[in-house]
Amino acid sequence: MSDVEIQELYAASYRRLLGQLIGVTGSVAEAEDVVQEAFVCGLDHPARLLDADNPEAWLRTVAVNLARSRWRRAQRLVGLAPRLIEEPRDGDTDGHLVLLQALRKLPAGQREVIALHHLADLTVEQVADTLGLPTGTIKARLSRGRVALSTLLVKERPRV
Amino acid sequence: MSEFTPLREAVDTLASRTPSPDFGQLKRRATRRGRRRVVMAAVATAAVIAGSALAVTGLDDGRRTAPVVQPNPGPAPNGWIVVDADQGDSGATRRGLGDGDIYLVRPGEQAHRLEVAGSDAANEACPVWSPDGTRLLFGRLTGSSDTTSSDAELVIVPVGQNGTAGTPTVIGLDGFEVLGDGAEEGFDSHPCGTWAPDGRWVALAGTGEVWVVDTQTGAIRHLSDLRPSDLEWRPGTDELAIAGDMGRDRGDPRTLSTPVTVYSVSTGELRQLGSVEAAEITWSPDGTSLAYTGGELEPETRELGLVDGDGANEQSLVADIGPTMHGIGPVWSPTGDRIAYQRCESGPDVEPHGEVCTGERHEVVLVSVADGTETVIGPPKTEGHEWYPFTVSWSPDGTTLLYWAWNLDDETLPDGVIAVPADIPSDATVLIDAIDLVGNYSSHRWAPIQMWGRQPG
Repeated sequence: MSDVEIQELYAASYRRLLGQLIGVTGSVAEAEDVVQEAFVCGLDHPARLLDADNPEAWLRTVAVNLARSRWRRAQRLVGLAPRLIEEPRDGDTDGHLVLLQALRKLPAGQREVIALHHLADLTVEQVADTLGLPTGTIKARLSRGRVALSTLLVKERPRV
Repeated sequence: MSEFTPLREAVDTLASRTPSPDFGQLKRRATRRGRRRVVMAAVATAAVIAGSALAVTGLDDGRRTAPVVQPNPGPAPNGWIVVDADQGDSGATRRGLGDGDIYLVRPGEQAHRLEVAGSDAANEACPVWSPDGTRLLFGRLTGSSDTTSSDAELVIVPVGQNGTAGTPTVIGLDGFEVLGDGAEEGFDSHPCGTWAPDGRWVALAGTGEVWVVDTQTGAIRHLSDLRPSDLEWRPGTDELAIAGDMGRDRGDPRTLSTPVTVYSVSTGELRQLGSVEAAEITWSPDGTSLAYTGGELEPETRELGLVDGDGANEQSLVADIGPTMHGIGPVWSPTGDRIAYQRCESGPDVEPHGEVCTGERHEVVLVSVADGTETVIGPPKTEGHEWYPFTVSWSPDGTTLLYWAWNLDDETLPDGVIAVPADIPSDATVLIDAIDLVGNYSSHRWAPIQMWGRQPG
């Protein structure tokens, strides 16, 4: 796949992937980092994208795994964690970041499956493939995540 | 309208508000990454030359040492495994400075904190046992929790058979730069040392240089222009092998190969080990051979190679050891017959061409030094949890693997340390899973091999 083709892929899918990864990470900045890094990975080894059945899905899987690794790494590297906490900025009156904060309060495992299933529209089986987990685990996390998120959103609603 | 519609609208809006970087910018990042592989080999060669000059100058100052007397540590464990851990169990607590403590643990007992004078107001990490199993060395940060104003020290403390500490010896490390999380050289906030076989000298990575510390006098030698990913003392000698480059950017802490440099404490000389280039290295227990592999940014150099201690007779033991996300590279067993390494499990954590590890689920491979045959150890299971290794090292008697581990079932659970019998991995034992360990995710890679104490010889 040439750089031109990757550039076209970038133009077509960057924002979509960014939105999905915002859901996965609960952070705009973190999502930007991992989506860009996934594209850099593809540019670094373009042949990998050539053989992928679905290049966008390949990029999403790389980005999701990077996000998971960074989340774990953030627990360990001194000082990195505060960067992941995004407070609503002045003027952010539409409450999108408030919703994002509610999402971020979910356990990472539940947030991932909620984002991939409900925001990226992957089937349960596709989510399981992406995360390398059994479908039963995905279903359980979806169920628990849905309940937990509903509760959180009810709590946050007056502020939206 | 789905219950998730507002959430979908929120992420879509946030994504559309966020400016996309110029595609050319991403291309330049990819190009820089490839270029870095080439440049670092040249940098490392220059570092050898500069370091040689510095080391010779140091010796002219009269710091030549007496001949090294080798102890004869027994092969049996002294019963104690040492780990660094955080006091609190919340994410907020474990991320900050001022939390690190040293814990001792042995199978079947609760971990207990090592009480050392001066520890209460300090942050301590990367403890390692001396070769004779009687003393612990660890790094200490004191002062403000603002990392830039902290002071760094090495602490050496005798530890009795009952796990109690004696009077510590503290060596101040003037000029040791305690790193924050910016784009700076090196990765350790703490000074993380590794003991030489004589139990006198200690090597650690400073900012862009290797420090070699005489623990008897406190004298420090600086080997400049090095950001090693591995430091390994050659058994039975006073030689320190230095390999790899961790880069300048802490946001991309992946390793690169460099020519392997060997520094002699007694002569002060630096030499290159034949034509070997490596990022992770491990000496055979008799010191006659070095095993090595390439860096994480170099999928084309994932060979596990062997070379004699004089740099001759390079040979390949395993053609491709597979991709890794983290770890400390190959670790030679104390019995000499096997080398352990870790790699990503095949499946979703390895992209289709098998060149890049995109996840963290690792398996452990034991390779026979005699014939290269491999035994794969999947994630050990204990009480319903599957444990994946961050680092893998050996017990002093060579029977058991020590995993600094995490489990997939619940990422909110603390990490753990587990003992895995090399020949019966199903008998894995959790040694600690109730305290948060200080991370050595991308740093102090040489410390884990000295976590498990030897029986005093």
